[in-house]
Amino acid sequence: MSSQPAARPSADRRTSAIQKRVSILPKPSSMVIDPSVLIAQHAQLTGTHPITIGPNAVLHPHCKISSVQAPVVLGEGVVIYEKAKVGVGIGNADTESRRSSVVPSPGSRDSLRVDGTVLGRNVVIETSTVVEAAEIGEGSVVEVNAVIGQGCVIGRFCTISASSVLPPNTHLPDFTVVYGASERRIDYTTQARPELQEAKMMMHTKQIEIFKKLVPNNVTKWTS
Amino acid sequence: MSRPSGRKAPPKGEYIETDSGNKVSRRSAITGTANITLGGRTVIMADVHLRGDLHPTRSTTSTTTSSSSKDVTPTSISIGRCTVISTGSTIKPPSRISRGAVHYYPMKIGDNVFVGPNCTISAISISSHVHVGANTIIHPFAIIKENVKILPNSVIPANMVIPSGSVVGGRPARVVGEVGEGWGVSGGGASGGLGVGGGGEKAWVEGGDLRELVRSIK
Amino acid sequence: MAQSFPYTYYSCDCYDSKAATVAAKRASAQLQPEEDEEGRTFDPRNPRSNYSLYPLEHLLYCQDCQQVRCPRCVIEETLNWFCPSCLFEVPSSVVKSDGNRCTRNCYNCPVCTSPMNVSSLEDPNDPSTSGGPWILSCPYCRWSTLETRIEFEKHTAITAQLSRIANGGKPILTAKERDKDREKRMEQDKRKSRDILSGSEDSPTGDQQKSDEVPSHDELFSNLAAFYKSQLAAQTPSNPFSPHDINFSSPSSFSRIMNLYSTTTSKKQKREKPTPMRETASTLEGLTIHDPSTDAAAIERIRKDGWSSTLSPTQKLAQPNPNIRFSSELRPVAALLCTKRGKRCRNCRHILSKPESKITSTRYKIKLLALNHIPRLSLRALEPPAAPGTPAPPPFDYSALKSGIPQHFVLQLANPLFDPIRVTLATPSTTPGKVQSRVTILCPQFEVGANTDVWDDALSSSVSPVKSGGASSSIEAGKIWDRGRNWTSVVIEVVPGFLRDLLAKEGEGEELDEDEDVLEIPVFVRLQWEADVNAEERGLGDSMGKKGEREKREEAFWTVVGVGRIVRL
Repeated sequence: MSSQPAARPSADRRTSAIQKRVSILPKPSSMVIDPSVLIAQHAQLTGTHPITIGPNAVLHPHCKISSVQAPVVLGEGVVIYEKAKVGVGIGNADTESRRSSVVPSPGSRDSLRVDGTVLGRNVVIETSTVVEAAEIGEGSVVEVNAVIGQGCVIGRFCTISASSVLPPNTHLPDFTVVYGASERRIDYTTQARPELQEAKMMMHTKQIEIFKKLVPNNVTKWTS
Repeated sequence: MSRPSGRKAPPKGEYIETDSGNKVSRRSAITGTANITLGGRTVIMADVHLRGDLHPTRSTTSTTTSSSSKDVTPTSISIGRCTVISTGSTIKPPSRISRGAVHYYPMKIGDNVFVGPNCTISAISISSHVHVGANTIIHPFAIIKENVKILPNSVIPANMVIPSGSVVGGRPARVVGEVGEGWGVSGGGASGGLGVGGGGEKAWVEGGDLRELVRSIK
Repeated sequence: MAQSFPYTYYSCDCYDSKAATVAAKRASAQLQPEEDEEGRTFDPRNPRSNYSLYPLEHLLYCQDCQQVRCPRCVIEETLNWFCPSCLFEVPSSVVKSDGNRCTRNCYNCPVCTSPMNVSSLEDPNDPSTSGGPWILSCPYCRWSTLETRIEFEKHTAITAQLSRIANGGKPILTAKERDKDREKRMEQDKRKSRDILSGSEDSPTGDQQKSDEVPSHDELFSNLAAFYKSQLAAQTPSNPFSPHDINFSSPSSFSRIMNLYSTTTSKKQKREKPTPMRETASTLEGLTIHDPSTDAAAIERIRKDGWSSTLSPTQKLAQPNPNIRFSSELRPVAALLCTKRGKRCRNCRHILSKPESKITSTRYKIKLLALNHIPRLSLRALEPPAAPGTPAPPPFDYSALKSGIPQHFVLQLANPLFDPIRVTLATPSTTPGKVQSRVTILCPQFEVGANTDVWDDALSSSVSPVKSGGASSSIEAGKIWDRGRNWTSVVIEVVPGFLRDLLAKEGEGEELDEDEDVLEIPVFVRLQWEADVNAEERGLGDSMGKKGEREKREEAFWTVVGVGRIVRL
């Protein structure tokens, strides 16, 4: 009773459509992608500013990385799930419509931290999120449907729980948990136990391992 | 088994209908189709993501490096009959660490389940006659029993068990009520007459038989 | 009224039927005095209406009383208790003693109420045999028992382990140990006071009490309980039961207490008037004296740790001890039990619904739904048919009704009965409330076919009056819109009222009440039909019995149809 044949044509068609569209878009002027990165099919990387992806990062199908307005840096082991959108300006408008108005400037490495999106090591960006943050620290998790406004600086090992919305320019100290109706607390458990942080990182590494087993890699499309 | 009947037909509708009556939108995004089973008369709407590629690896040993298709295909998502997954929803099997390795676990969704638009679901099991409101997030390994109504915009925490007959809602979700005896009963002797041919009402009720709804989706 | 438009609520008159006279008096006194009881229209905005309006799905039907039964006019009886988290049945004998809570591993987060997980703190580099230590952790807000420094040795029997660990990791004495401890200290106290009296010891008793820490909530309770137990025992030395084993809830102690307060006219009462109980006098007897220094300490603590270390009222109230103030005092909250309940009619005590007692079962042994006895009313906007070729118009937006523009709706009645019914609808010409909308039912009297088998309809297709001849589908006064096997629909014309007029009338600055812009139409439904006498007793499918015996039945009730929201211009 598999629906495999049923869905395949739709998938094929989808591929072609996306490829066509991507080819219209300006390719990032400089894309630094580590060879160990896993980029699934249908993941989209657009924009004219540089996109840097560190080793062992995982980009799931249908996630979008946009450097249309500012550069994007994904650290080592960053995982971005399906339908997540990362990049300044990706949340409030269609990237295509903004493309023309933005003058591509030669991306300089020094300005990365100032006006761009930097995701630290082992950051997890869950399904259907919109991340325009300036910086997200190591080991932080942005859960499903969360929206993180421009200029947000999020510390290490933070958790932005599902459906939370962070207004622009929010600064969160390390180990913050945003939950419920925008309540905040400090995760003393993780803070007090470095071994828990370590365990979390280890689990993350294993998660990436299984992604590499299960998700077909399409990284060549972007590196070649 | 379920070859799409309208595959080559030139006038393309929104949905591809299989032999068993499943309707899968052409604009849905399904990965790992071999690991997904649909029970029949089930609707997958546009922009729905089914992550069938995230399947259990334990049974098929460690040979699954890249080509696991020769092995017996493990099931990752199984959806029952007359279930509707609305637009923009994501169905992703849950994973957890066990004996030093991360494993994905097969996810089961029952019959006559309605999943509203823009939900993200990682539950381990959803029983029959469950109504999931829009924008709901169900975290990994939640268990949702029969006849449950999940209010829109809820967040079901991981590992939560929702007993049958409950109404749950909130962030995080808690049980806020009971669905009552009349849940899923389409009253007025609605077998057939209602809703057909200009009848006023929608011919299905939350938690009830979704056959009419499935039939009306084209 | 969070339901999406359009909806229909049914009014159960169980309250009004009992308090009709009072209500009528009050209503006439407060509202329009010209209203008499009979002519009174149902006002969905009346605050009391909140408690009599239900969706049809939530109503039951008593076949003996031949009346709708709402959650307010049924009696519930608990069949069993179970934990919503582990779904284990809890025997009724222990429900009370466990405080209606699960005694397994089911805990809710004290911060956010999410169910907690038992998770391991095991160091992967140095695995322990048990896989522990373990903690309870919240998957949602990441609170864990580590924050109150509680760890468990095993991942099972968390309740037992938790009852022995205080926040901070110190052990809690069990009840027995506490009793022993108390006795020992009482002994010491006595000896000391004796010593003081004899003058051989110079240390005052106050010293010792100060050295004691503030007793915990549990300790206080057990001290108090022990004190009053001993008082009771002292009161009645002739107690036939063991004086050490008095249960407060036992009937004997209850009668004793009643005796204390009852008049001494009883002849049996030969004992002299009991001496009144004395009050607690020391900490060991459960006396607590407010210590102002604790307040100063609390303030100091808030100054140091900030507001985030304090608790919200909801968090406090969820705790077993609601008098705590700081997050370091939080305890995981054991899951409250759920029940499976049967329902009886409040009038005739007949069972209306009875679920199967097994926890896992979702079936009912008895379920008498109003759905199967009362026609379902449903509303839909009538849209002009799209001309062929043009794209279909967008679906009607019920939450944006336009003031002053007549809109037609189709109101459909579906008949669940096995006999055809004659329906009379009535509605006030303007809706009650500040925003007055005009409502006209074009065909207030019509018939609805019987809920026969679908196949009957198909077989007798030659005579079936089936759907919509061209003539019937016109908006015409006195004519139905459409009909089917067991349903008939009529057209309602609604002219939504003006929000702005109202604002102008009442002067600027005055805001509409919440939901005042919702257009709700009260509809009075009267049904008449002929039914077989005692059809229920014979069983529905049974054709035995005297055929000709039929009786006239009548039913009447108010419904409220929520049409939509009038949009602000």
